[in-house]
Amino acid sequence: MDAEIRVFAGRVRRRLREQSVVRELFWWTTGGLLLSLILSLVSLAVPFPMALPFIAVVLALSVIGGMAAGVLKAPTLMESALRADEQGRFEERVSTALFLQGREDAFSVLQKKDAVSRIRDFRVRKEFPVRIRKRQAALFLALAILLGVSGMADTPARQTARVQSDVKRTGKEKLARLEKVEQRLKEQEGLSETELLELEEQLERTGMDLKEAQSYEDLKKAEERFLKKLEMAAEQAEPGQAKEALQKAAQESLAAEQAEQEQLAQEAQEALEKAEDGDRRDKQEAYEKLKKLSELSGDQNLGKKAEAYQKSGFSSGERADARQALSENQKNLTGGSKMADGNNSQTGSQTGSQNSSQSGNQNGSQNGNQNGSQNGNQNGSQNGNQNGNQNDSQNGNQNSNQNGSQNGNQNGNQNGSQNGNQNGGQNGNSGNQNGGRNGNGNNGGGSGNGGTGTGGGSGWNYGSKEGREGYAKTRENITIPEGVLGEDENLTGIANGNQTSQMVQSEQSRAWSGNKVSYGEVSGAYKEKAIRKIDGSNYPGKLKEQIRNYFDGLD
Amino acid sequence: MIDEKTIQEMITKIRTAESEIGKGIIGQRDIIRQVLLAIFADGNVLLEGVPGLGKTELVKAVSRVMSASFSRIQFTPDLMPADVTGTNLIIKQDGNNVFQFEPGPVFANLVLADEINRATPKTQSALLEAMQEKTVTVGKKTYQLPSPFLVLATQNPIENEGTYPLPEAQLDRFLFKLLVEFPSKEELYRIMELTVTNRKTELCPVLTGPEIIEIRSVIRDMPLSDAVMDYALSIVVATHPEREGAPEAAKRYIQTGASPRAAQAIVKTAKVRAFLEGRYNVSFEDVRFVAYPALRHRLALNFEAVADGVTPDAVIREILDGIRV
Repeated sequence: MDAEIRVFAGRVRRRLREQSVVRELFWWTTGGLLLSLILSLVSLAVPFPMALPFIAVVLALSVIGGMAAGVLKAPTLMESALRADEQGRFEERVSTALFLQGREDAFSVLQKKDAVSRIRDFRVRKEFPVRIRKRQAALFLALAILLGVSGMADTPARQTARVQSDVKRTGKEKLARLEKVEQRLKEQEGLSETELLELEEQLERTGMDLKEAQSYEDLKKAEERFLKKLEMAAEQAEPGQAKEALQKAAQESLAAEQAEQEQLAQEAQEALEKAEDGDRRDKQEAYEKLKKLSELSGDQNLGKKAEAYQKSGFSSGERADARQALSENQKNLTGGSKMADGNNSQTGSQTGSQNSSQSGNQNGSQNGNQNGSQNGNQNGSQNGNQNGNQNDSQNGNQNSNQNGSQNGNQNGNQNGSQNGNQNGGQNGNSGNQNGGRNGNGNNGGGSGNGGTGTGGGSGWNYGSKEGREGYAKTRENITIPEGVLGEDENLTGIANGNQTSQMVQSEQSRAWSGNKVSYGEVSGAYKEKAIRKIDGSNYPGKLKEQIRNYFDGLD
Repeated sequence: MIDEKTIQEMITKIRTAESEIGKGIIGQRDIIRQVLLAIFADGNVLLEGVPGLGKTELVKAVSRVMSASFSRIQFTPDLMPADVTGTNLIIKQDGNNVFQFEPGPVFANLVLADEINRATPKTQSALLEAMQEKTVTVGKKTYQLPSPFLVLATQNPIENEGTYPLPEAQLDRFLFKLLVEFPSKEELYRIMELTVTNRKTELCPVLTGPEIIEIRSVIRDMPLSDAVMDYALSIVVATHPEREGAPEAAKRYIQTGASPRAAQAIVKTAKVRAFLEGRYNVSFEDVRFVAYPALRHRLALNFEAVADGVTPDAVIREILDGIRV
């Protein structure tokens, strides 16, 4: 009898647990759906890149939580017996029989016998049905439908969020790629601890930048900075295994970036084709891919065409323009890729002149780097080739390139090798260029003539007096001490016989050569300005006094 | 070892007794049932009701059916304790004057203390020992009362002048306080048929004193699950307004909660009820059924309850509703 009662109570308990799980699951998932719906509605208005993962987590948690709560809230055996008593109107026969388990006195035996006779006709599944009320089910369905509908809607906020999310994802991919490069370099013998440390630091910075990137452009810049650092390291390394490894790593990274862009271009191409007959979502996707490609490859034309395509409501005409721009982008990408391949082959033959090999790489992808390479060439073979062409092309290139943001890069490159070159011809370059050099801290006194340069130095300054101090210093004007205006006789190189060298003197330069300003003049003006500023401020009097004292102390 | 057959015979006897009492008392089914619960739970009963509702008749009917000795004491203000318990008389024995105890009316199986609240507290308290200890002490000697012993007291709730309300200590000694209600019209009709004609109803004795004692003993062994016991105790605890988690009604209207005797009364009588229902276990419903008569005289309501016209039964109902099974 004991076993019979126990089995019965166990059956009731299992059934009640099923009921409990279903009930809790329903309420938890309904709550999860409600929360997800709120998140989804919020994400319609506010860019929320994590909305989808959040919703997925909320729903998953609600399901898990519901099941766990259902199991935890399931009744005990005695509670189940009491529920059976209540449901079957057994007047506590079952629970008392369960309570009397193991007792064999007359009353207990009679009681259990009585209980067993009552429970035989009790249908557990029928008496404890597992079902959800219609109103509850309707609520659940309504929430699910609303969530589905709100999830399908595409708003500008959603588009922004999607891009932000993709930026994060792409950033992670890039970081993983760079980490692999770093790992390979670590495994490579020959790299000094300092070099490795620098690379690690740079990777750490790049990682931060990639994580904080808000746009594809930010990603591109962050990755470029790392690659530049890699190139610089390769340039500065002593010829040997380590140098080759660094060069190889830099080239592979460039190639990977190239491949990524090609892949993206291919995807954009396909998306555009799909958008031709597709719905608005397809068109939006094509736009987003074009935009991504334009930002990652720095193709402004493609970006403009993509914007125009979207603003026109995805018209056929604008799509054709975008396709055209995409084709051009693809051509450029292919060209760059070929150049990069060519450089790889040159590396072997020109090991002796790093600049030459570097120029090959940079020609393939970046104008700014081209300047660096030309300097390198000057350095190695100024007499032969440069004289013949320098005036016409080199100056021209330098001018045009230095105008852009790549001047900074140029400075970075010049750090290792440009000192010699500058002596030859670039010392008198424009102030912006000087700014870059200043950061490097390696420039010696300039003595050359003929340097031109109208570009603004807005690149990343890796250097400091010690060689690196962050890269936030831009547009910093310096004085080239003992500078001499460029005259032919000051060129350290040997002019060619045709005397076709042309010296162009920058008139827009913000640098000045050899002018000196007395400390008193600078300090006095600065003090006056500072005092005036604090007089007009609402700093506490005590603080004002302290500042005045400081400046007085300077005198 | 008791068997099912014996138990069934006992149940049959009690039911027969119940039905016999019902022959002499029209209506009042619940009252009869509750009086029987008290008898088999070995407790005393206080019957409250306006005059003429058959309280005394009920007690007489019970005594006849139980074939037990019966005595009636009409409580009046001048009733003395010795009039209840008995007294030592000086008698001549072998030429000497000796004291001899003359038992009072309390020496019976069934004692009807009619209009108990009309006697002075001193006399009322003469019943205390008898009700609780089933003994009477006169002088230096204690006398055992016959077994079974049961006091059935009545009191009139409306004529308060010249009455002495029973003190709480004495009230607590009553297992049940039963409220005798006015009969329905149909019942009244049947009462008329029975009382204003020459028709006589003969009540047959069904139970003897020893049988009652044996049944009491059997019932005491009835099992009670933890859940039911917990429920009964929760009810008693809930009557204490000072306890944490006390129901709102208790906090608002109860001045003093029920004593542990209340818990004993509930459990004992719930067992009897289950037995009478033919069950071998006590149910929540048994507890709920006996909670009212077992608690209503044990709750001391405060002034607010009196002012609001709240009855103990109303408070008990709220307490029962508030306790989840």
